[in-house]
Amino acid sequence: MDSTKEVSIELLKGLLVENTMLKVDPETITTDTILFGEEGIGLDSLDALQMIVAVEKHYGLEIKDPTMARDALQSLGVLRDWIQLRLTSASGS
Amino acid sequence: MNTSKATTPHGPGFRFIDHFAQAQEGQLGTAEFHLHPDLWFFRDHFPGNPLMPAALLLESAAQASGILWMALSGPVAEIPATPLFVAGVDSLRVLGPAYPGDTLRTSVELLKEFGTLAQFQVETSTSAGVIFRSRLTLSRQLKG
Repeated sequence: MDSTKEVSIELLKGLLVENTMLKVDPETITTDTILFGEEGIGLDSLDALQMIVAVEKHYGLEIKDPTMARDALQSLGVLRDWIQLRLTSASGS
Repeated sequence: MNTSKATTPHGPGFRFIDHFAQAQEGQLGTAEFHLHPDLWFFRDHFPGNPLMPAALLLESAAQASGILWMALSGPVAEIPATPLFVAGVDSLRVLGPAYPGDTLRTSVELLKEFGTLAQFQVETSTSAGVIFRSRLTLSRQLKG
């Protein structure tokens, strides 16, 4: 696990663009945009799986189950905070 | 390896695995399928130049992935014979042809299981080398 890896909204948006089937212009996605479901930009469970695999590969953090995924993937801002918290915990600082 | 005759929910005309072996460790398996020259698709794909359609290479890899997923889910006898469905295909590359008389060897690894979905890395070879590679996702339910 690499706690020095950058965790920015732009980088996470890049993972989103690369790994999901976005139906909206990426430029319209902000820190707080809801990603999944009807109230969000309509990403589905397959997109969630793709993002989970991408986050695990990029940051070495395991997202174990759908409940954890639902918590972590609410928005790019929530995901950034979720990753930062776990990287910080892992580095012991 | 635990080797077994492959079982899938498909009818015999649409089963593209003969044997499957699950590795003792890890979430890995290997499937084999011999391309008998009399297989139905060779006649028309293509007349005078038979080779296995890429769509069926994908289907064979998906069936190997399904067998692995079922095997990892528990003893076969305790698993309902429910079909699995292809939900997504990523990074697909066809790297060479598969001819009548070839034997396909597909290695499959479970990358991630997530709810009703599971993602696999698959790679198929013949005696000539790797001919097909992809990452594919199976679902336990049809998306409506």
